[in-house]
Amino acid sequence: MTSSNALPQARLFRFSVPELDAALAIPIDQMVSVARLSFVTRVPCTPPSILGLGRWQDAPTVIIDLRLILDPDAQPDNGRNYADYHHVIIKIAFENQISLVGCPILAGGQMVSVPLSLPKAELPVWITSEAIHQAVLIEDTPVLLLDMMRLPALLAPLQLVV
Amino acid sequence: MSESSAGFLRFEVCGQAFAISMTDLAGIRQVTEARAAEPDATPDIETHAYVAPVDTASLLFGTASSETDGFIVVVRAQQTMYVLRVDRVRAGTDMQAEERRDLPPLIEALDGPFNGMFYDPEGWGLIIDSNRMADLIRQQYAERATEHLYDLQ
Repeated sequence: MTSSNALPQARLFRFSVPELDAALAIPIDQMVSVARLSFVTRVPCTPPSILGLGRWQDAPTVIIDLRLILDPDAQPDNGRNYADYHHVIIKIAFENQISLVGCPILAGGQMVSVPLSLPKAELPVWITSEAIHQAVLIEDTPVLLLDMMRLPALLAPLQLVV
Repeated sequence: MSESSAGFLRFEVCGQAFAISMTDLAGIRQVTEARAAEPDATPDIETHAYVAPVDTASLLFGTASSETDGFIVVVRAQQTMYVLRVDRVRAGTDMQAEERRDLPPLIEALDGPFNGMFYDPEGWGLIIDSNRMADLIRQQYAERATEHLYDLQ
């Protein structure tokens, strides 16, 4: 029998990214898949946080390095082959269109159901990005909640890299 | 199936595919040797003088090309000729409309020198916008000395 007193739950996808010492999570309704991409094509004249373009289900997908967005001191890793990684595919709205964004992630990402009200955790001092909504404790582990809808504003500043 | 096609030259820089509209193309030459720059040389393809090439690998990727031989692609934009040094020119110039895609809005908003993309078996290729490329070249090369010139005659 289902209890009518059950607490409302939120569903999150919890994951981590290469070379970033933090657990991350996004609301599950912002993601569309976890997939391997056969290639990541570099796009010149974009910020370092844009790794290039991939192809997911025949759709162009902008591949980003969350580490470079979240950690202002992080350096690009140009030798890494990001096509070797699984990517979490996220949909975001930008200029009245839905864009697909992919982020390379480490193995071990998982769906979790958590109470809507979670105990707060302290944000790491190095986090300054507006992409972080808040830090919470999930199973006693600090997890940074991402707000991917803020991502376009973080990528948009013109920054020619040549 | 669409019958529409447009002439594009496909070429490769640092292992990545690019394309440029044939309407902006003024010439292609294979490069085997470079002639040392002459102080008074005037870059002007129309009079068959020597034209200074742009190191496209450095311009786009910030790294020198590993190729010793290659091609130069002469582009006409903004009433000027620009010479792009590329690693190889790929066979075929037609590109079916269904092969082409708009850039994702997130990339388009960055205002780089591209106005589209196309599917290539090894990844996406990028379609160069000649005018924006000319802006980028002028911005990056304004203060650089010419190192080599190629005889385009």
